[in-house]
Amino acid sequence: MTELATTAAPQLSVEILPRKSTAIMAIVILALGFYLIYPVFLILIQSFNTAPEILIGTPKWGLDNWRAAFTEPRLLQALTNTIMIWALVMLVSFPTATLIAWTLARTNIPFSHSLEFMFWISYMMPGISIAVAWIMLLDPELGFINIGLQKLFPSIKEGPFNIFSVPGIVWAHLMANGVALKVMLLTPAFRNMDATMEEAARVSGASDLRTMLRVTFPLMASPLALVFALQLLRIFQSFEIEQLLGVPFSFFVYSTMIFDMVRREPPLYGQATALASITLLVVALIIPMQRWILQRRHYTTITGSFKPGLIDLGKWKWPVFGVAGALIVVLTLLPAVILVLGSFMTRSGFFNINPVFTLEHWKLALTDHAFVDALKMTLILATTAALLGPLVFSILAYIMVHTQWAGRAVLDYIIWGSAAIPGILSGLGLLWLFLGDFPPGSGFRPLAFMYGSIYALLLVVIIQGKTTGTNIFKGMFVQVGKDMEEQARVSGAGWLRTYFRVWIPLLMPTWILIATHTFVIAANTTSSIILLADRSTRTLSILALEFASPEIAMLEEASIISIFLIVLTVGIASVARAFGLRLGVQHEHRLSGSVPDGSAEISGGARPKDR
Amino acid sequence: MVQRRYRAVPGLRTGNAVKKTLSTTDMSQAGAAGTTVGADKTEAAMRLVGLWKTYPGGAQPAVRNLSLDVCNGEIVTLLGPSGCGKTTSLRMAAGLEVPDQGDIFFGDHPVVMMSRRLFVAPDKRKVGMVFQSYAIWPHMTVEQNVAFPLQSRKCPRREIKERVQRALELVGMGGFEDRPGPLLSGGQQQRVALARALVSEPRVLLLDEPFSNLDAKLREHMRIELKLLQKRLKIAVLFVTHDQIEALSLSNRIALMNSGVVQQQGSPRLLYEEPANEFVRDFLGRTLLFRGKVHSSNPAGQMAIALEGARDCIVFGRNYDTDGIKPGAPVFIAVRPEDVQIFPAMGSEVPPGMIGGRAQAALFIGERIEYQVEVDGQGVIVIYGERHNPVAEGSRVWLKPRPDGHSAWASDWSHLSRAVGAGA
Repeated sequence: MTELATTAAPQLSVEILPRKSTAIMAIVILALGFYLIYPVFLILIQSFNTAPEILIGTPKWGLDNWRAAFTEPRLLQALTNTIMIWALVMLVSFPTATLIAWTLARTNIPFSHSLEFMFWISYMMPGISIAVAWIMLLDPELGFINIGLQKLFPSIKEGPFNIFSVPGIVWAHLMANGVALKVMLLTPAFRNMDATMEEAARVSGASDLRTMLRVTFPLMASPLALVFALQLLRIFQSFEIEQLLGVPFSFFVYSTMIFDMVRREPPLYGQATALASITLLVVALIIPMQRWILQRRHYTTITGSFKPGLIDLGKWKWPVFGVAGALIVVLTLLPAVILVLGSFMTRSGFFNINPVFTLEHWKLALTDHAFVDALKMTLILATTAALLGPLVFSILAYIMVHTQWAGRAVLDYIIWGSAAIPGILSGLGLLWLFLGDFPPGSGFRPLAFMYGSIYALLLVVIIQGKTTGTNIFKGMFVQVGKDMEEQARVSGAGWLRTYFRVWIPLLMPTWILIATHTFVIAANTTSSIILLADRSTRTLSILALEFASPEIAMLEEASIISIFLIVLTVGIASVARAFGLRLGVQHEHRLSGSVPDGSAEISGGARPKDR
Repeated sequence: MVQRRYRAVPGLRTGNAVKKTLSTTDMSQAGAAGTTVGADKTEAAMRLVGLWKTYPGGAQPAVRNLSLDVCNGEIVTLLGPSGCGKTTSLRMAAGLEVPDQGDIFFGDHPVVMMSRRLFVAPDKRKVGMVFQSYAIWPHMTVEQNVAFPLQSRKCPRREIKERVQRALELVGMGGFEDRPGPLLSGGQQQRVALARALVSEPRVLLLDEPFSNLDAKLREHMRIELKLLQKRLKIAVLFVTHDQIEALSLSNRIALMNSGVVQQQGSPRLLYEEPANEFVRDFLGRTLLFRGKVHSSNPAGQMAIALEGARDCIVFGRNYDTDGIKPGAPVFIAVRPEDVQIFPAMGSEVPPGMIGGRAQAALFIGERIEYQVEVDGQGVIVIYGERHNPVAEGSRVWLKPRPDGHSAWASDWSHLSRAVGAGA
């Protein structure tokens, strides 16, 4: 037998058993760890460095930063403000969204699919555009609504609404995507519920209302729990709305506080790291909670074939439609119209200057270097990210689903865990990774070129899209199954050929979906890139943030940028939508052992969209 | 050599050796000698030698010490319940799984020698494979699907067209070249999958439950077509199925697996008539177990057994542990349902060679009637009856087992039968 082997081996193209997998896996884990996990450790370590200039010079270790963090009331206040805003938004949006989703999916409300589509449009509208629009509407002095009310009721002298307030911030969140995202995630889940469950309740003598309360909602508990779990991690994602609406009245959440400290002259790096570290600890407490919710057994039966019986709204059909329609108008049409209107006004909110309307702002913007450069930068960044993102995510997902390589669980944990790191913190960590010594204390700064370069932004944008992107690809790989690939391998195709001839064509719709998703993130994001971008690499969203800030207060220019952002994101996403791509809550039946635990997960919509 | 062989019984075909495998240790010793069964080594198209495979995280090996030859022009079937390791074995042959131990040869060429860490990737093995799902690439037409193996193997362009044409005609799919993959029916997909597997003229054809997604009629039809096609092409086929009818009707040889171990290999008839152990007995076909006492036995294992509960009913059967059962000892006798006849009782006295009972229920299932019979001194046994001579429910019946050709067992192993869903 051994003789056979030695004589025959040369005739065949024989390969020695691969140890390649281990090497590839090591590289992947190291690379991900370096860009995702290591920056977080940098933050934690630097929080103990009390030297005034923490990036250069000798570190001085001590607890001063932490002491300051706990004694300086503003820091902890920022953290509680963060949670308070989130809780208030949830308190209003969760019941509202559940009710809307139920109405859209389970009643005979007219045009339910079109309404659902409009909520999706609302979700796609950049938070920064919405915030700018609502400043134009609800500014205490210049807001259109306030002016209108004062005109209508001469007894009202000022206000009555003020967007620069806690209720104002909550309102802006609700309008941006606090409601829309949840409607978007819940409606498909409600729609796909097995109708026989409800029918059984009806046959058992329960009324519509009773059925809804006793059967539908309990059955929907699992998608509700999933959506809630997703929302948990969004606590710390919020940035631009608070930056625009909170800072003017000295209301800080943790992210705007960190931004403020880092951008101050001289910067308060020490305190910023301490606050960042405390936030990370809170996030670290939330992750197990989230995973616990995600991993519980979810028993909702979702059937594809069943057409659920719809509840007849009777004479309430049109009134209910009216309410939903009005909401849609407020969510989408109103801000868009206001932005367009404002961009043509000489001074937004001033109806008594001559002329009221002008093209000047548009002329100015389109010839302004800052604007044109930012537009170019946004397009380059978003397009490159859209091309690279799906490639990276699909390979990561492939490794996790279709290989048996050791270390897949580690990969999964890195990808899941790092999703919880808020954009501003990941930006802060990367900032120090780029500007600090590597290895620490060596005086050597190999990554300094990254600061202010488009590569840094590209890296951040891809990092931001990775969790959703990878998980959607994972779902697709599980769904398509490995047969398609194995058949190609048995048919004599090598791995590369198989990837390009079989996987990429098969996954093309998903590919386009993820590309779109990455593009939209790149166009929208502020908090994760704001610390890493400099003048030459400003994107449109950062420029809008600057124009709309109270110091500059060029709302008309900000509205023009906002319009561009809406066109870029909603436009691109609508094109992708034409391919029939949707996001929604769906349950995955995991293949045995191919994916680490987590019996159900959101395989779409988990857009870690920067806010 | 610890491997047990059955002693020759007069009047019994002894052409094939048989392994009796009850325990793993027993099996590993037997297999350690690398004994493969059934074919001359020099003509084997594929030889699997001592393959072991444990999945990461799996408590038990999925495949233990599998050795199997597949010769040119032969269909060898891996049969067994789900999870028995048969698909894993096939996937190791294809190169889709890496065995932990063992060698695989295609002809004289080694493609796997784990002791030397030699492993040929699946794309270099020149096998054809049909998956259970067919795996017709939906983004390609029929022609593109079938051409893919040739393109991958750098076949000249003009040759491809012609060979694809030939392969499609072989499976009766000529004229469907431009049809997109998803627009094919199940049977058509299966044919295209077969054409794709055959087009590059592989050394070995691997079939993973290829008929399980077809409806019953089409399945029968495709079975016959495959058999004819294989005869024509004289190709070596390794076939995996959990369907015993498929295995019995298609195979030259069957290797029946359970818990990763080959329980018995041999011709379909051998496995059916001379099961090596309780698992094989209960997996293939149905078995009725009667209790009895050994009347007498000869050293060859042939024994006369008196059925319990009958005044005078002696049948003959073989037993494999001649040392194990002494005259007078209780024994279980396994009888195939078709080897028992049922009559309405014609008197109170049960005639010699028969055993009495009462038909509790009669279920008409079309081709036959199944009676639930409370058999005297035995308990409830399901007996098959002809549909033309029905017996009334509740009436006394006489059962007449064939006088010989049964197998005798020291235990009923009912826990095993239940565990594997015997006679499914």
